[in-house]
Amino acid sequence: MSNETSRSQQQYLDRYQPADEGIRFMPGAAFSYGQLPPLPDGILGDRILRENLKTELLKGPLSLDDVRRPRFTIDELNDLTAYWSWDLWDQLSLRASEGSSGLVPRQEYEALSFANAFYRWPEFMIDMTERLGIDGVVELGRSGREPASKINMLHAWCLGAVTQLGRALYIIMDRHKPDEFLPELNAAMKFWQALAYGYRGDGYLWSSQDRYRTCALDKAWSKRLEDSMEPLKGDTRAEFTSLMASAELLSFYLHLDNRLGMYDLGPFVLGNGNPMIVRSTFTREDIYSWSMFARDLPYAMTFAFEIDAAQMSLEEARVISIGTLMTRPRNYVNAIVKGSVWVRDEWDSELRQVSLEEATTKYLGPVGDATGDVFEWMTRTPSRHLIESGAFTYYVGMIMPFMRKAGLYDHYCEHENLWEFDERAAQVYYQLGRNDFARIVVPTRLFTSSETSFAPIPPDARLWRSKYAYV
Amino acid sequence: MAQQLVGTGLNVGRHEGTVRGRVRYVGKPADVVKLMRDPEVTSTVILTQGGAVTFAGAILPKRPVGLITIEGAPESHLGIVSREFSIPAVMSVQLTSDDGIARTGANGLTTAEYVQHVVSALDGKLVELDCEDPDTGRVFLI
Repeated sequence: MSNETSRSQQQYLDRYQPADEGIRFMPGAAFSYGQLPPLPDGILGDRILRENLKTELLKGPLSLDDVRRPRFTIDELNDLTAYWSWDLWDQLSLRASEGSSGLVPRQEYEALSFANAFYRWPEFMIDMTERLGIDGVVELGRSGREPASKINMLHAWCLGAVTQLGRALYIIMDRHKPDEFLPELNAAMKFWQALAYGYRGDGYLWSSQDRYRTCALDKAWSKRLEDSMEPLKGDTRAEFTSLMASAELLSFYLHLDNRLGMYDLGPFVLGNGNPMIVRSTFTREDIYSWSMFARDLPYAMTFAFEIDAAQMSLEEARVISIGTLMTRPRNYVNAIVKGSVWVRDEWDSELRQVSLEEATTKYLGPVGDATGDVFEWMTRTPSRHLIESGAFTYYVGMIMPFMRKAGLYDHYCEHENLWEFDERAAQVYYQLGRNDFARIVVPTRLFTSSETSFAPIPPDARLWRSKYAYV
Repeated sequence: MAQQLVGTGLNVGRHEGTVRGRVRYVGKPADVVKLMRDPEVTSTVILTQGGAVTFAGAILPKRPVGLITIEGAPESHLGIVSREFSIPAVMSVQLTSDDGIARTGANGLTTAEYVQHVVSALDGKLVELDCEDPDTGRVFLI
């Protein structure tokens, strides 16, 4: 098959035409936000939303000068909040409800981490910005443009998303009003903006702004990965996908059932028109005590793979901002035709390629054993401890990579009580289980109520207004 | 052998042909540990309530025949990993006969009665999973 014929059969490439509206992954569903028109999912939803925002902030790619501006206006913050609310719906509704975990109280620990992060992160973000300068924060984001780095789109996204979710949580609880904590909100949004700008390198802040592409690798890296891939057929493909799935599973367990343990980059369109996806899994993270079960494993394993788009009649491939590949049709696994495996032994060591045979022989068994051990540890851990541990995988785990790279993680642990809950946030714990607050009230009020908790800031609010008294 | 369609749900990934196995419900962590260590796991179709991977996901490397969940979606963690292990999975299964039992309660969550209804209908039974349709997975009693 010639390259030309092959490309003509790859419908997913149409998604990158400027006028293309993409396909709906959630047909018939729409998100409502204030006076905005109903917003569908996908490329069309992004376009309608951005066309209807009040300011120019998100209309096109940002420049470094935009990022250097010290703060957002109220209208800009409101545009960001509107985009965040749609973005969260667009990404998280795709997963629908996972239902009850039976093991990890996810909704409870998520809510607790939102509560804590909202109070604690701004101080760290402001301090890091003061120490590094805003250009330094941009560079910090840029430093993650290689595989198997926790300085990535997912972690940067989390800093913005969880700040917004913490604000919404306190509004739901009637502890804060929409015009309070504005300096903190502004600082967090600016910090996230600088990281995302540096990391992505295309002037966009969300993957959805660029038709769900996050190709944040320096060219030398994407070429190196492309050249490293070898054909996979039959047994070798099964070995490759099993090893990848096993590493993903361990990464989920080590990060207590959340996505911080893995992320996808791409789609990188190869010369033959097929997409290459670069998936990194974090199979050890020494800041977590339960990671001792993975003590003999590498810090991260990366899987580069090529999907035969024509074979699976690929209509659309989204790498959403939380670093997850979503395709239509859904099953791309059978269409993986090439792949390579890479390993990073320590968070700051070099990435090295290993053969599939070596990776399988050396790691498949220990990865499975570590997964079983973490599972058993979970079954023996009381719910409260799991909630606290889970809250730390979010609140510490999301911001830690930036602190660590900047050489500040130990300082914040020793001098700023990083591994602590703010007393006000700690009180939220007791409300989480009452009347299904974390499991039902919070998600309902976030995404389905007529008056969303991603509330806009009133136009007469003052940007200096924090909250100085709880009266 | 006569087959009876007993439920349909969201298909996690298209698989040619069908798979057969005996359903085993895992409701507690101890059930998961027990099944992980059971040599019959490779002829078992797991039935579990939720779609979070940290519960039933630990069994997937042991290569069960299939997976049925009462809640969750193909984009959930459990759906993603089962697809990559090439394990046919039907999520958010809906029985063909609900016997008037409400699936969700006023709080929007799956009712304990519905979970019990599905468990009663499937646990211990020999089933066939048909995941050929890209969107819908079907469960047959055989």
